[in-house]
Amino acid sequence: MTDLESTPKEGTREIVLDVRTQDMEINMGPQHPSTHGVLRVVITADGEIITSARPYVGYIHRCAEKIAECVTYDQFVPYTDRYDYLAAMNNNLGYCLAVEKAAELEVPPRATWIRMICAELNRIGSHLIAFGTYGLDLGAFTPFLYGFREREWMMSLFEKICGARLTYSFMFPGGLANDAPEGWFDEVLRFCDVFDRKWREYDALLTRNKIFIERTRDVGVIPAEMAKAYGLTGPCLRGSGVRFDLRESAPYLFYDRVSFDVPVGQGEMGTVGDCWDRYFVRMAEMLQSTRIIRQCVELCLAETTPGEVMAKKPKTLKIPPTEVYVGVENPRGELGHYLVTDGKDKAFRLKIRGPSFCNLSIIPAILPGTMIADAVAIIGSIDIVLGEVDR
Amino acid sequence: MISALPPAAAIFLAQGTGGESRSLFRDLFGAGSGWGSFASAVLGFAVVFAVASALPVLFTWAERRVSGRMQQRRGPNRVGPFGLVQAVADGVKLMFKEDIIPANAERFLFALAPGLVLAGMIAAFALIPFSERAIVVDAPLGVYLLAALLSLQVLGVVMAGWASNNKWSLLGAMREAAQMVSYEIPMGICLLIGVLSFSTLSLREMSLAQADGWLNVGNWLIFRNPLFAFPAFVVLYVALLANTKRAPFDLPEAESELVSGFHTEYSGIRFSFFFLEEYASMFLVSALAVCMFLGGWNIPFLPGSVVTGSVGAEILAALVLIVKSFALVFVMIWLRWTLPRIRIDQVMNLCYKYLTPIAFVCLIGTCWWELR
Amino acid sequence: MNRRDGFAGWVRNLWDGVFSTMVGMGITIRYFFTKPVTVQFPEEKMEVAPRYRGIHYLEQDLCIACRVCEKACPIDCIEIRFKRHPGGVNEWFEFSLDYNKCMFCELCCIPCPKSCIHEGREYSMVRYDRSELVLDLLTWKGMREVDLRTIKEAEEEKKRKAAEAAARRAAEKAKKEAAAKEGDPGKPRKKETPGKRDPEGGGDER
Ligand code: SF4
Ligand code: SF4
Repeated sequence: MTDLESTPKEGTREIVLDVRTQDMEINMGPQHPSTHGVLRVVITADGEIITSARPYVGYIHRCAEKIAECVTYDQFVPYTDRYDYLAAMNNNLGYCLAVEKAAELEVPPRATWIRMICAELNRIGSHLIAFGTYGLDLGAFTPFLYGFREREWMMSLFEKICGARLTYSFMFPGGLANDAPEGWFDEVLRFCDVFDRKWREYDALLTRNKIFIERTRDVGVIPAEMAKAYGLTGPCLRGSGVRFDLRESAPYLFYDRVSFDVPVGQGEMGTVGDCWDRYFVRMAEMLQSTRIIRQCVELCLAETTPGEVMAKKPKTLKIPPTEVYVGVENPRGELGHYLVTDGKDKAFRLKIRGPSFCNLSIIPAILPGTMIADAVAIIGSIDIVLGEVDR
Repeated sequence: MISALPPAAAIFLAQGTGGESRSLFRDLFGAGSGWGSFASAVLGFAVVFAVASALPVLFTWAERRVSGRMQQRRGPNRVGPFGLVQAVADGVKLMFKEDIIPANAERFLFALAPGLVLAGMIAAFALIPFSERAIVVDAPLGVYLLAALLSLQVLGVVMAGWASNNKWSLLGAMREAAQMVSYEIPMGICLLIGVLSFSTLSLREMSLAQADGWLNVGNWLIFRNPLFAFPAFVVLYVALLANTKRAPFDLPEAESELVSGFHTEYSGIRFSFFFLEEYASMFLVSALAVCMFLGGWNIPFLPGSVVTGSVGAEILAALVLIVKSFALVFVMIWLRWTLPRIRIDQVMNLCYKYLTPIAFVCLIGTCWWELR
Repeated sequence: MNRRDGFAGWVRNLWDGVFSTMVGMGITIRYFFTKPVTVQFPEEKMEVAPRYRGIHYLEQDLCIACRVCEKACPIDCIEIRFKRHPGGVNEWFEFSLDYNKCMFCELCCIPCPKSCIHEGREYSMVRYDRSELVLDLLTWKGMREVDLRTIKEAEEEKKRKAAEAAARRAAEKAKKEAAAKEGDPGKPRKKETPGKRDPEGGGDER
């Protein structure tokens, strides 16, 4: 061997004395079936084992924050639909709560109840996609379509109340665009009942499937300390066994008036904080959501009458100089809006804290040492929406 | 063009190893003359090729239709009645698509690989006994030849993965190589159980031996020796699933991990070769399992004489074999649309920790059973 | 499912694998025998909800061309061109919506003072070219018969008014001249503007 050969280059490793293998650099994405959009992860792999992973984001950056400075408060609502497009209602809600807090608007109670119902319905819809695409990532196609079947109903519920199926623009600062149409609450309750039944089917078909468990347990373990250190929120944090849910720890809307559990990962199948735990937290949350919805419908019908769902506010909202931060529990974690106003009808600055973006930051830390097939499982279990990562 | 050569070569090879055995077309042309065996080889190739390319048309339709219904969709329903002609339309589309060879690919191997993959499969078709006489080549070493031809595709897949000059393809090919080589062990052992029980290596003779018996199913291997042959059948089925790269063992293609695995870079007609191979080999391995464990062409509860003797009976026999194989293919489709995909290390685990020991136990058990 | 080692774990794993596969297969085969839930789109169509937000429609006879909707749209996809004529009549040239951009947010419909722009239930936007997605919402272009008549009436009215005013002015002038002839030019009548007298004069005539 010459000297040149005997000094190992970076990225090479010696296995047997004179046999050298070179790590392979693989470009996963931006066009890859399971990066959930246009995420690009550059993976260095030694055979099937990943040695390092670097995510690159920004392929669908749409300047949401800058747009917020250029349009009026009401006009920005449709843009909020578009960062986490799978949970548009929750985005609407986060932004509206921030503006309402800054403008000190009084929202009618009926609007608040309906907001809660919509937010929870949308949480179910979003988790259904997480469930379905996770199955898809692991090679099970059928649960995906079963999930979509129920999600379709959820979307038609939204279509009935606001007229849109994906990007709702339903909540505006001060309240809602419309009151619920007649019979809507009954259908919501019916949906909850059917959904609870179907949930058991998902459980048997995917969650308890041996292959699925083997693929997800002890994979991509995020210890609680690490999860906190990386600023994870939502199911990713709770999957690591940390009981932190904004609906419980800092209740907004009327979440303090309904009772619900916060599922946390318990390491039922393997280690606390593995992919299965994160996945199962989402599944369990869906059941909690139907529970919340039932209580909300009951309380809403008992306490309010159809009618006013919009606060009294001037035609163009102008907010005196102030700064507010409002975080809400999005299906993917804490969605924060930091709003700075300067007395004009447009925001001076709006900073959006996207949960997917923060959750994604853990990928370089947990991918090394796993297999390429696991990379797909881990990215899927973090459940990112690229629209919100890039905003 | 180069892709079509290996199948032709393979079929001649299969004919060659046929040796002194009997076959449908040899009888026809007279086995003695050189021209006769050449003509019978050509005709055999034509028949096998036709069958092997017609079946995938049916199976792709079945797969899409069945998966559709399992997912509460409809599946193809536009082209022809119940969308039956859909696969033909797809085939035509694939044929007219641009045939792309990546700039840095190894052109010769890239072109050769799909043909090689198809070759083993088509040649293996010649060994399936559809009825007592409807067999293109009844080789005395039938079972082994079949196993050898089945494993020929791994060469083509590795070739395709390497020649594409694509990292995903390479990974897919590596997985395929590891998976195939491993699963040949339980598969081989299970085939050995059949060989042991019937004391023959010819699939045709095995099928004949399974006629009659208790309720006319008693001689089927899984009933004749239920304690050991049934687990062996299940093991064989799983190993064959892995062999055909069907879910949950579709790691070499693993569309959510490796984009499309070893055939990522293939398009048009070359891609359709891989496609054809997958679906035809589904039938092939099912037929193999049927011939060995499920009584071949024998009809349950009816004596073996019903399906042997006359031409009509043999057509019935062929139909029975096809129906039985279809049932197994249906289970393959059913499994695919139910299960997630296994990871590569778990595939190895399953093979070496579960299937191989079980297969060995069954083998020893069968020895005891036969010597009883 | 806690993990066990040794042979018991081996058997347990095997059993779990086989059993859970069976359960899953049971579910999929059950759906195999149920009816599909999909809708064959071009032939069958799903009924959209009454509040569905689809392609806009405009009640043009109510629209006053105030451009409020144009301003309310966050992405400026409404374009209004018109010319005002006497009698409050608008000659319409264009009221177009660019559906390449529109996001169906309904923000244009909410502030309309006449509630005359709505989002309809039509959703099919299949076109061969992007430019075909700029739709004109106008039911008529330019002016209708009625409008022309209104304009004519308004113009006649205007003319009449102008004539009246002219007549009045002439009368006044004559009055003034007469007064001047009477030799009383210094009379403090300058404070009273002619405009103030006009209505009186008009009223008299009516
Ligand atoms: S806001 Fe209404 S009235 Fe005004 S221009 Fe638009 S559609 Fe016409
Ligand atoms: S629906 Fe929204 S985007 Fe479309 S024209 Fe109206 S305001 Fe503009």
